[in-house]
Amino acid sequence: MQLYVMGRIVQLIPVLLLVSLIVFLIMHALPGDPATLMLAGAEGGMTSPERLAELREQMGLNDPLVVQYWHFVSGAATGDLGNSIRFREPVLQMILSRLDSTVELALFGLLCSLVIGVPLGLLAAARQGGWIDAVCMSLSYLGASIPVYWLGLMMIFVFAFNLGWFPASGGTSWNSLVLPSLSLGLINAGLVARLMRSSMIEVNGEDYMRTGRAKGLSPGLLLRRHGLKNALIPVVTILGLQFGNMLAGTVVTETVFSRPGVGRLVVSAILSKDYPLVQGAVLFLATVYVTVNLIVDIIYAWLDPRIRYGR
Amino acid sequence: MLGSIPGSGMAGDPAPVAVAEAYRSPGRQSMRRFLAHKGARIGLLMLVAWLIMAAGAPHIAPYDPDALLGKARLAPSLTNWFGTDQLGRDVLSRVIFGSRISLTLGFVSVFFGLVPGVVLGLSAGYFGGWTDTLISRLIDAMLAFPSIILALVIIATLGPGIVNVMIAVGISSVPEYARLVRGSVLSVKAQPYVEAAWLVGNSSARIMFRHIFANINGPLIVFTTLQVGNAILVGAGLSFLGLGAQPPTSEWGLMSSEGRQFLQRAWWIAASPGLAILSVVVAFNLIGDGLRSGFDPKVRSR
Repeated sequence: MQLYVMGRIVQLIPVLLLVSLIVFLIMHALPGDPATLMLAGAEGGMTSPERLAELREQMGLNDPLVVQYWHFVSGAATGDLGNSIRFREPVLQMILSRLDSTVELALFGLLCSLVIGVPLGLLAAARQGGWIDAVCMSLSYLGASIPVYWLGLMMIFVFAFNLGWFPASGGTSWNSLVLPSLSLGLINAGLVARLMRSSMIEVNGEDYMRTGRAKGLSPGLLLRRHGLKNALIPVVTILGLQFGNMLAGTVVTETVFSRPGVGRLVVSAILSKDYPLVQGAVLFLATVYVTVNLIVDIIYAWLDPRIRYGR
Repeated sequence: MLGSIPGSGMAGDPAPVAVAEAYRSPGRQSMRRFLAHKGARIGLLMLVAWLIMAAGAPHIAPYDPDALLGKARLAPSLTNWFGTDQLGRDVLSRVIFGSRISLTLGFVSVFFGLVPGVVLGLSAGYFGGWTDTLISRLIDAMLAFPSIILALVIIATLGPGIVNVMIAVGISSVPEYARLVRGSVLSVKAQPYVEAAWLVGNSSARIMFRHIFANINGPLIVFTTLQVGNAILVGAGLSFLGLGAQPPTSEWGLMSSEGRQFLQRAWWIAASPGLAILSVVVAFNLIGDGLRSGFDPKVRSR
């Protein structure tokens, strides 16, 4: 197990290098000069050639691409993601100070999707073709088709403005977290429910379940001891993917609910053309996503010994 | 290696049912299964309705989408079915005109994902070796980004705007296309007909497109259909954030964003465009699922 974990961590390094290369190349190779963009945005369109040249020199844009990439990667490896142009603060500090709020939202969103999705999927599997099954199916369709921001707005309208149960935005108490995480969770609950349903139906057809029934285990015990454990494995494997969905969702949700998080930071950085901040924050988010997927893989290997001994 | 050509034993005993089915072309069989799918028929109907609305928007919309009707934030009524917005424009007309942008966005951005994705996936799967290693590593690294984040990076460079959103959303789906196509190519490559095509002296490009691509486009069509809906969703989200369409365009994401400030008093401004997106995307998802059961006889519709 230790060997497996070590191996997976070592495999992470080339992926992260490639990720940083992609971020770097997109920011540099696509049409659009960051210095010009920045001047046009940040300094009111005063693009005198001297100022442009000065800024290019200052940002190191005159160095060869390889040298620039080396600066970016070696800096990132030591926790230096450069300084924000607009706020003149270290990018990493800006991200870290907003990370709590984003992680909180993503985790609670994930929790909501599981708390809604898993029981719904189990019920749908138990009553195939019944009305719960229909609800499960509709929820997965709606979840895949509703814009996150719109669900958030509608929840604000109903639960904050009309019923007054939760605040519409801002706030630091737990109840300011309910609506954002619920709207993120509902979007993804359908996917979880559908997966849980098909996985449970498959497990129900397995020999060990029939043996359990044959030897007279009560349905509840059979489900808990044999069924759920096996049926949950596919759900665990998509947790990493789900977390990525949540992370992506926070970009929009944080704006809807005016939460000060990393996602909102990225959007405002793009709008104000704060190019080092975008680059750093995106690299950071991708790293978090890759790391979470690694952790999920390790949990998976721990749950299912076939994975770590296979190959 | 060459001696073990699979499939030679399978042609021996065709079941009578299979013979009867074989008289119909595979395309027509797929079409029949697709139309037998109830959800797919509903989805198709919804999509056709939206396409008609987008094409005939100037004739169908009751008002000019940019005309100021005088009374701002009028609640839905018989004269203005979806009410009027913060500037007094007819929301229904704007929603109808908005379908043009969202549908275009869906189709155009899928094109930007499909073409590079298919070329990369085909090359990786067909050539193998270092080409495959190189492309696969690139795909893995691109998949390390949650897709909206990749789109954000691209928009950061290209600058906000609806066309840039189409490009960004498209490019961020390239790795998924490439992965899908590569996988299908690998499963088809070892088939005898590919070897036969090679023996007769066809060029690589011809084998890739005429023989391999023609046999893997089922899953690709399904994925593309679902992806159109997804692109519309992501594109509207980006416009909501202010990164896509700019005022005074009647774009669904932007309209919801503008209506956000007036949510408490005039919910219809933000709500109506969302319902429109919901119905369009549901249509694509229903059609996609129908196509899946059409192409894959193993998936039976209930």
